Amino acid sequence: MTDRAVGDRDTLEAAAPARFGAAVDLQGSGAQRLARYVLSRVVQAVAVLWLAYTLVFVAISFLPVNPIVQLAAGESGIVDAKTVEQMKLYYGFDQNVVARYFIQLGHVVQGELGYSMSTGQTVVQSISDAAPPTLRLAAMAFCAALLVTTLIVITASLGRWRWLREFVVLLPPLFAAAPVFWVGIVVLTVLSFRLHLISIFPDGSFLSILVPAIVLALPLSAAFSQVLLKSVETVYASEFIDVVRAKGAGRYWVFFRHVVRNAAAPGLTVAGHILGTLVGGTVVTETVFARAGVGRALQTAVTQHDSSLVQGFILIIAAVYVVVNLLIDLLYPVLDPRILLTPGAARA
Amino acid sequence: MAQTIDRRRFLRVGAAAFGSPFLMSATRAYAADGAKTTAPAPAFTGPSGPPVRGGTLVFSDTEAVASWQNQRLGSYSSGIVTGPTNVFLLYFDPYKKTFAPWVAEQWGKNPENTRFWFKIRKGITFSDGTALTPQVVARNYEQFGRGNEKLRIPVHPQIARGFERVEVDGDVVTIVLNKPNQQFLRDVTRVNSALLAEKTLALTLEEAGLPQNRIGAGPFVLESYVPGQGATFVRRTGYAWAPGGSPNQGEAYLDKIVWQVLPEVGLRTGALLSKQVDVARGIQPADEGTILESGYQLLAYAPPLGSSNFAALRVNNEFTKDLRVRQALVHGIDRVALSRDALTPRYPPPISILNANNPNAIDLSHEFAYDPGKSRDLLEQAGWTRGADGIRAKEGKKLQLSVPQSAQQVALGPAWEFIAQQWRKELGILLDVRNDPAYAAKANQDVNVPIMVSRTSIISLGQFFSDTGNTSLLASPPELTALYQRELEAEDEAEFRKVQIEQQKALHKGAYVIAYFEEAQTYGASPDVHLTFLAQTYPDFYNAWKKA
Repeated sequence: MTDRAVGDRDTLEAAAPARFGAAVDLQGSGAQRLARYVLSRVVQAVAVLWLAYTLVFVAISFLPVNPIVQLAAGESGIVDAKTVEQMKLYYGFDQNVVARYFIQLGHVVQGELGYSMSTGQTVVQSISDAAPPTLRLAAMAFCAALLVTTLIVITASLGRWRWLREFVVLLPPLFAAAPVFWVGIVVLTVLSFRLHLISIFPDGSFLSILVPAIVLALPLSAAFSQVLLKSVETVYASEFIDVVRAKGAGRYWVFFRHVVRNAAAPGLTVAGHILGTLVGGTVVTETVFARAGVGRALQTAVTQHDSSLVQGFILIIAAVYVVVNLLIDLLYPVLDPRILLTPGAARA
Repeated sequence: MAQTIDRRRFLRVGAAAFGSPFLMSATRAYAADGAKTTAPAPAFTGPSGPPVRGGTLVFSDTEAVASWQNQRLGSYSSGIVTGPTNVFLLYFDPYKKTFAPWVAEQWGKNPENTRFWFKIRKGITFSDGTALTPQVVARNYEQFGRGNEKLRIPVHPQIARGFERVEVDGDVVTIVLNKPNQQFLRDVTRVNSALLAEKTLALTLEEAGLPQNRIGAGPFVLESYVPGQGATFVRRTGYAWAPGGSPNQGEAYLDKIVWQVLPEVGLRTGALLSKQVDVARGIQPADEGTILESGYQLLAYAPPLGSSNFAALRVNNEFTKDLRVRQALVHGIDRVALSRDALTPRYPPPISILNANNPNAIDLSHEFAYDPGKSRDLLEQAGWTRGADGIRAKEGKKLQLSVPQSAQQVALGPAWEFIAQQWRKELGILLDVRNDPAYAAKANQDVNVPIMVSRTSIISLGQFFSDTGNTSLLASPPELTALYQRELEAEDEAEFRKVQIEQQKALHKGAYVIAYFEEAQTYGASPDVHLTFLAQTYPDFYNAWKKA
């Protein structure tokens, strides 16, 4: 992906004189192109949301377990047939699967996600209970991942000593290889049990969110760093960098003025994925740090076959992915206006 | 004089020196016949002296509880978290194994076990200030017996057995059944039989499941709740209706209880030893030594009316429908080695499907003694022969079974890993141990899952194994159904005991169950905490106190 993006750019650089004319011709319809671009991305986003909802519905429908029987059984060891019938009526499971799909879809379009069978709350309420702690954790983890990545990339590129540069390049694979639950347990054992610096339970203190955020950030920064390191390496190998250097630019000027800007695009894509992952993928961190949140709630919903809650969560997580990616798609032309010049060009 | 020690002698001496303590402890832990007959009593190791008032008890549990509505309670965690706010008609004393008055100051029944009357104590109020009257008791039992279709409240799985009506006459509430239920008095003490205020009874299933809507008359009141994370309870001022015989008869000793979910099993002991929790539930066997060595309490509490840990073998499953296969599985577990090597003395080998301290348990351990030779013969007779890879197969199909796990009993994991290895090696059976809650949920209703694990603290063997809709066997074998009828009709405790003895025999004879270790809920506790337990293994927060 990265190679192709930079390769496209090199091709564009080489073909610049020829394309320049076309670009001039297109200046007048720039706003139209931008509008078409935005519209196509919005349509794609809606389609993705619909597909995500439909796929989850189909997947749940194919489960061998009837969520209503599951709900009625609980752990009491007894399933009461009358209760099952009553629950089927209430949750719409008396309808056939196709009718149920369209009825539920109709409700979703109107913003009604239904009731959670396990918690008894509305799905919206369940999600709004679970979302704030996860969003706080995700935001902090994202910032931490960004910070760690920046430090790694800058040190690997501009580090004074060769051993330091080689050392920091080893960090991303290490971060990627260390399982989050293991790192979390080690960190809690040291910081909470030995040094008594943080509580084992979330107590509202800054440290109680910073520590899980950093644990969560490490593997994310690994993906981020690896992509950016590769991208930086590729840009450094480009001919135009030789030209810049030949003009007498210093290493810092080359790095911050030319390399970072040209290498940032793949990083932006990864950032989108990271944000999406953070919203739905915090289950391990939340479990180890005994935090409530989207990950734990979704895990419980899946365990209890709480179909409406699972669908609600998936829809919200898909929406986050879609919105973030939409924003990134819209940011691309700002970062690299040539995207608008190439009909159908995908971002890196 | 100098005596040289050769290598053999050195090894002998060394082995004796290092081996003796292990041998001695093993001898202490196990009776001469290789199987203990009783679970070790929970050694009381907490502070002594008069109870101390005040303080906050931090308790860590294994799982969050989704709904706090009575009919939706089931797991141990749900019983623990709702316990502090509960009152019941009667109290079942787990140590004396007798009923004691609570909300009902007097009670009685007819010989046919179809009419049960309770004289309601005066002066009890719910935490919203409303009075707990005979009428409110009647409304609670109406909802247990009939459910409420409009509110989508299901029936109470035990109270609804033969429920006919509730009558109120002055202070006396009488529950009338249309068929006998000898177990009714025990059923009114179950965690899902707590009496709630009218405001809660008027709510839908979903609304009634929200913690803040559960209004009880117990010694604590919910102060705050974080979904999926924890709850805080404060002492209820003015509480003066403790169960008869309770050491404490006034308000609770503790000011506050903080109930926290700590799902990661590897962190529970650390949380306890670093003094961040006072009591941790679900201590894994591997951590018991650390807790004891650190001078903390290890409280293993066995339910006095419950079952051992058992696996129900589904009679309609393609593998376990064959009695010979079921018998082979039953005889294919070395329970002494299981307890010794995979677990700890807190989980001794069982004597029956009933826990050894259940007064109705009889020693049937000879019925399921470890005999791998017999198991292999039975499998051969059933047509399952070993292939080149050592796994048995019949008509091209391998003998591959699966079993779910439960977060409510931490000893299950090591136990089933041990059993899987033993079955693979000794019997040529592949066993997938599925540590996946979704799979456990599926197992509740899927006959393709051949083995279902469970344990319960007040067991009706009839209801668990032969009632319509039972999730243990997913079937009702006729001989067990007949015994269930006799269980319900038993006139008194003596007759009930007779039936339970026959039920135990029938369950083991038909190889419907594998009993594999005695049930105990294992808690780690600070040496400063005084903690006892209720009949259903829930901590008795009301009588708990902390050394200042």
